Amino acid sequence: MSRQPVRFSSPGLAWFLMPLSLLATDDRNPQDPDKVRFFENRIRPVLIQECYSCHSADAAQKGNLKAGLLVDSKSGLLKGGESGPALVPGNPKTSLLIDALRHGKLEMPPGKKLDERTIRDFENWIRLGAVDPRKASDANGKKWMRKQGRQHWSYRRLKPVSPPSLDSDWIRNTIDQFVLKRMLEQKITPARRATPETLVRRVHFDLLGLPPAPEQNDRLPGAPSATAFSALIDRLLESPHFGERWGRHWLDVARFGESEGSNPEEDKPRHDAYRYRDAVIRAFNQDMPFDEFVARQLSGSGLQPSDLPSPLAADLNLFVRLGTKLQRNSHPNDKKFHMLDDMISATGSAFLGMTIECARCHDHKVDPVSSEEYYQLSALFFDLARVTNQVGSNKLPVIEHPHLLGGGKWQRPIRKVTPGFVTVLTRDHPDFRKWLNHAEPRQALSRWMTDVEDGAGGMLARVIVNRLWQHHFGRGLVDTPNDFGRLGSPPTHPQLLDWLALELIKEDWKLKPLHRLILNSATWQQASSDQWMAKDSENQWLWHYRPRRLSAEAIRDNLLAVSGSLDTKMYGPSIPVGTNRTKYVEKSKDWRRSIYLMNSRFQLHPILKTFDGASNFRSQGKRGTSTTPTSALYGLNSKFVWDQARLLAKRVESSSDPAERIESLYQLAFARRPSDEETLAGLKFIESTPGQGGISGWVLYCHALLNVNEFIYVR
Amino acid sequence: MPPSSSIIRHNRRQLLGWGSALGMSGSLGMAGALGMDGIGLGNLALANLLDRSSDKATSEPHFRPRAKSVILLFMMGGASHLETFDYKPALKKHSGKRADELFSEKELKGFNPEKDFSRSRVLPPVFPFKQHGQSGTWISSLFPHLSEVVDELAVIKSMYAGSPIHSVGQLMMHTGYNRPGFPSLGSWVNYGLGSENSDMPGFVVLLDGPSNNSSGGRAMYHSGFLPASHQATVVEAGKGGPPIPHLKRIRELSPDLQRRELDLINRLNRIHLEKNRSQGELESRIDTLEKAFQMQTAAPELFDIGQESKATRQLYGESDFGESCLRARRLVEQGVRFVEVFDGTTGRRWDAHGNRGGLVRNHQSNAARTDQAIAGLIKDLKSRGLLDETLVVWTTEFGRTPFEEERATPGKLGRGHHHYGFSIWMAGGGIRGGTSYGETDELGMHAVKNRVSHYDLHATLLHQLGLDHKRLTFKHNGRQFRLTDVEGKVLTDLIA
Repeated sequence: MSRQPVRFSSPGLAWFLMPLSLLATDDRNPQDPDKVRFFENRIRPVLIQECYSCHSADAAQKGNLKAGLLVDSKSGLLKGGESGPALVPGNPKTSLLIDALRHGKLEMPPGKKLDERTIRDFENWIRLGAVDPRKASDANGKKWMRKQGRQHWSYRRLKPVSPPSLDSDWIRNTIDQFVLKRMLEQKITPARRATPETLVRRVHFDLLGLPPAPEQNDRLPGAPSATAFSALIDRLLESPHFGERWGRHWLDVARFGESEGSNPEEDKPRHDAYRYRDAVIRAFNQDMPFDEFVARQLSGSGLQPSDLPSPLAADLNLFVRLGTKLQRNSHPNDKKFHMLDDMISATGSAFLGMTIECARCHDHKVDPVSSEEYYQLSALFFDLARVTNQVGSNKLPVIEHPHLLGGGKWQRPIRKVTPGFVTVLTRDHPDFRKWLNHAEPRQALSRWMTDVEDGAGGMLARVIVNRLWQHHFGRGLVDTPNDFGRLGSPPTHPQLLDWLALELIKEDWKLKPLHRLILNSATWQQASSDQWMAKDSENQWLWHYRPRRLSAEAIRDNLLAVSGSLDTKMYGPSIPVGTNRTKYVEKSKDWRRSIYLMNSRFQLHPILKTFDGASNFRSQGKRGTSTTPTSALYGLNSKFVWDQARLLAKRVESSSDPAERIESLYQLAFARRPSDEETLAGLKFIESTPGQGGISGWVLYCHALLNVNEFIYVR
Repeated sequence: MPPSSSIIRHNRRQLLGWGSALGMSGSLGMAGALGMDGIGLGNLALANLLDRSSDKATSEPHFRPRAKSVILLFMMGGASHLETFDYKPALKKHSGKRADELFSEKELKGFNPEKDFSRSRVLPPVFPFKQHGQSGTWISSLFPHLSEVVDELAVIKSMYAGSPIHSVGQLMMHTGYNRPGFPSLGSWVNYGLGSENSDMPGFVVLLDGPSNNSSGGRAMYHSGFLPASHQATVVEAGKGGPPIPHLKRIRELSPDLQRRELDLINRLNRIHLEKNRSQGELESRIDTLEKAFQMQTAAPELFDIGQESKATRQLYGESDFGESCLRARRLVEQGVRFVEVFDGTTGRRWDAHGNRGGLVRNHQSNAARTDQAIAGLIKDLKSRGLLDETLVVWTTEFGRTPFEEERATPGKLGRGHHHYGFSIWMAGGGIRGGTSYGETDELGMHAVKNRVSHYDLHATLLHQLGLDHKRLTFKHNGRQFRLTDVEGKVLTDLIA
C-alpha cells in the first residue's frame, strides 16, 4: 500500500498537529482511534466549512440540497447522490469526491478549488479506509466546530506545572530548566555566558531603553559576578526611566495615538491623551499589579470597592477612548459602531490576545467566538459610544440599545442583547451574574477578565507574560503576541509559558519580580552565537541571545544620551512634531526622550517613521525592523544626527591623546573598549582626514561611529 | 541629451577598488569563510559587496525575458468593472430587479459575509460605453485618454479574487497571501533578478499622500521573509521637497569626504559582523548603506521631473498621480526593476459605496485624476521604445456588485465589494495589445470564461520577466515558498 507523506491541511487548521507515524499504522480495525482523529482533525472541519451548506440534512431542510448528495454522514457519502457513490473506501482514484475536489468532471466546491494539501488529506483518508465515526446526520456542524475550538491550547485553563528536573551547572533558575529541556530535545546546546560589558549594555537598553553611563562600565570590571549583576538589575528596575521604556511597549498594544485619525487632511489632535501615556509610565514604575492596571484602564472604579478613584486611575481609564474616529460627516450609527468595535478589538488584542473583532459580521471563522458574544461585549461599552444624531442639517436616528446586528450592519438589528463575556474563556456553564452583579459594566468586565478561577484571568496572565518575554528576547514564546487563537503561532515552550503565568499570579500580578526572574536566568544571559543557525535561525529554542536592532525611540534616545544632550525631564504635554501643513524642524529644546514626542496618527517624528515606530491605528503586538536606504540616508544626512556628532566630538575634547579619545568614544557609544584594530582604524582615519568646511576629522569620525550597525544593535 | 545620462554608474568592483585603496581588502576574504547554512540569508548580502549578481535567486532569468521592468498601477478601494471595462447591456434589461430574483441565496450570501444583497436591486452601468481602436475594445466614457491607446492593452475581464475585504484583497493582490508577513510582488521580482542599476533600489513605491493609511498597509510592499534588502523604498508624494527625505548631503561635506566616512563605517561594520554572524539583517544594512550613498547622486536627478520637456509633462497632465507616473517612467528607464504607483493610499479611494460620495462622483473624479496620466505613460513609454520592455499593469483589489447598494444617503448610487468577477489590464512587456480576455456572465457577476486569479496574474507577470513562478522559491521555516503558493498558470493567450 502506498503511503504518501501527509502534510498539514490549510493554514487555519495547522493547530491540528499530529504525529504522522500514527497514520502509517496499517490497522484493519475501521474505528482505529488514530484514524478517527485524522478524520476529526483534517476531514470533518473541511466538510463542514466547504460542503455542508449544500450537502447536509440541514441544507435539505432549507431546500438547498444539491444533487441529492449528503456528506454529513457516513452512509450519505457511501450512498452518494445523482452521480453515484461519492467515495470508494480504499480507492481515492475511483472516488467521485476526489475527482470533484480536483475539479475533474465535477467541480467542488464550485468556483473554488481547495488547496492541494487538503485534497491530499482527502485522498489519504479514503486510501486508509475512509474511517468516519459519524452515524446519523451531523446536524450541528457549527456547534461541533465550536467544541473543537475549545480544545485549542490557549483556551484551556491554567494548571500547575512542575518544572522538568534536570541537573546542569548551566541552570541558574527555574526558567532555565524549561529552556534547557527543550534544547536537549532538539539536540542543541546553549551558548556561553555573555561578557559583563555586553550584559551591562544589553540590560540597560532592555530595561531603560538607554545606554549605560560610562561610569557604569567601570563598576563591573573583570569577572562576571552574578551578584553584582543581580544588584544592577534591581537598581535599574527602580530607575524612573524603566517606566518610559516599558510603558512605551504598552502604548503600542494600547493603540495610543494623540489624534482622531479619521483622515490625514483634518486630523484633530487629542490634547489630553498624553495623560494616559504619563499614567502608564507611572503605573509601570510603581509596579502596579497587572490585574489592577487592566481594571483601571477599563473602568474608573477599579476592581475592589476599596479601590478609591485617583487621578492616576482616571488617566488610565482614557484607554477606552484612545481609538480612532470616523470622519465627521459619517452616519452617527457608523460612528457609534466604529467606536464600539475599536474598544472591543483593542480590549481583545491587548489583554486577551484574541481577534474578537472578527465576530462583528459573522461568527468567528476560526476561533470559538460567536457574533452574539461580540454584541454582548458591545453592551458592556455601549454607554461610552456616545454620538450626536445631528449630521449637517439632518437629524438621524441613533440606535439606543445594544443589539445583535445581522452581518454587522446597524440597519439590520436582530434582537436586543444583554452584557456578557466570551464563553470559551469562561469555566463551563457560566453564570455571568458572578461578575455582573452590582457592578458598572466595565467593572464587571475587568472582574471577569482578572478572575483566574472562573473567568479569563488565565488568558490575561499568559498574554502579558508572553509580552514580557518578547521584549526581553525579541521574540515571544508565542510569536503572535496579539493572537493566541487558532491562526496564531503555538507556544514554543507551552509549559514555561504557563509556569510564568502562574508565577505572575502568585506574585499578586506584580511584573517586576518576573523581570527579575527572566533577567537573572542563564537563558537571558547567554552570548550571541552562530552555532545552531542552520537548525534554528529564528532562535525559537533560545540557544543564544539573538542580536536585535533598537526600537525607533531607543535609537533617538541613544543618540541624545551618547552626545550628552538628552534632557531627562519626564511627563507633560507632548512635543509637537509639525502637522500635515507645517514642516517639522528639530530644535534642541525637543531633545527629551522619544516617548514624549507627539504621536499623531498621520504625523510622526521622522525617526519614528524611518525606523518602524508603532502604527498607532490599532493594537500592535510586534514591530518590524526594516532595512531600507531611507533609514541609511537618515543616518548619513539628517541634521539631527550631525548635531549629535558635533556634540559628541565636543564631549571628548578634553582629552588630548587621540587614542584616549577614541577609547572614551567607544565607551560612550558602545559601552566597551575598542579593539586594537578599531583603535588603529580610528587613528589612521583622524590622521589622514583633514577638516573641511567646519567639519573636523573628529566630528566626521564621531558621525561615522553613530552610523555603524553596532550603535543601533544590542547583543 | 537624454535626461539622466550624467548619472555616474559604479559597479560593485569599482566601489571595492576604492575600498581597497584605503586598506579595506583584508576583510573581504570573509565571504567564503562565512560558509553559512542553507538558509540563504547568510552570505548573500556580503557576497553582494563583491559581486552584484549573487544577491538573487538566479544569476540568470529562467528563460528569455520579454520585459525588463514592471510598473504596477494600483487603484485602491476596488474599481468597478461595470463602470470601466466590462460592458453589460443586460444590466439595463434587468434594471431594478431584486437580486434574489436573479441569483440563488447562496450566490448572494456566499460572496460577502458582511453584506446581504438579496434585497438589492440591479443597477445598470452609470456611464456609457463605446468600442475603441482597431481592436474594438469596450471602454466607458470614464477613460477618454486611455481609449486612445486601447490597442496597447490586454484587458482581462475575468479576474476573481480571494476576498471581498479591502485589506485581504490588497494583500493577496500584492503577496498572494491573505495575511501580512509575505513578500510583495516587487520584492520577489528583485529577489529573482536583482536590480539593473546598483545606484538605486530595485523596488520603489510611489505613494500619493503623506502616509499609508490603506487597509493593506505597509504589509503590501514588505519583503516578508525574503532578505530585507528587497524591501520597497517608499516615496511619498507631496508638494515641494525631495521625494526621498534626507537625500542631500549636508552642505559642508564634500562627496570625497563622505566617501571616506563611508569606508570607515564599512570597515567597522565588518569587524562587528564577524562577531555577529547570526544576524542576516546586519549584512543587508551594509549593502543598504552603500546604496543610500549612491542614491544621493542618482535619485535627485531621477526624481526631478523638471528635467523633462514641457511637452512630456503635459502628456501626463497636471496631478500628483501624473507626476508619479512620470517618475515611474524615469525610474524604469534607469533600470529600477519594479515601480508601484498607488492611487488612494490615503484611504480607499475607489471604494464607491452609496454613503461615500456615491459611485458617479467617486469614479468620475478618480478617472479624471488618473486617466490622462496613465495614457500619457503608455504613449511616452512607446515613443521612447520602452514599452516593449516595460510591463504596465493596472489593477485593483476587486470589483463591484451588479447591484445598487442600500445605504443611508438618499440620491447617491453605490455598489458593494465584489470579488467574483472584475477587470484589470496589462500593456507592453511582450503582452498582446488590443486583446480582451475572459468574460463574466451577462450581469457581470461571476467570471465564467477563462477565469483568472491573482496567482495567474502573478505567474504571467513573472513569466514576462523571464522567471518561472514554480522555480522562484525561497526556503523559510522549513518550506519552499512561492509567490504563487501551489497555484498559478501563465496566461499564454495574452503573450505576443
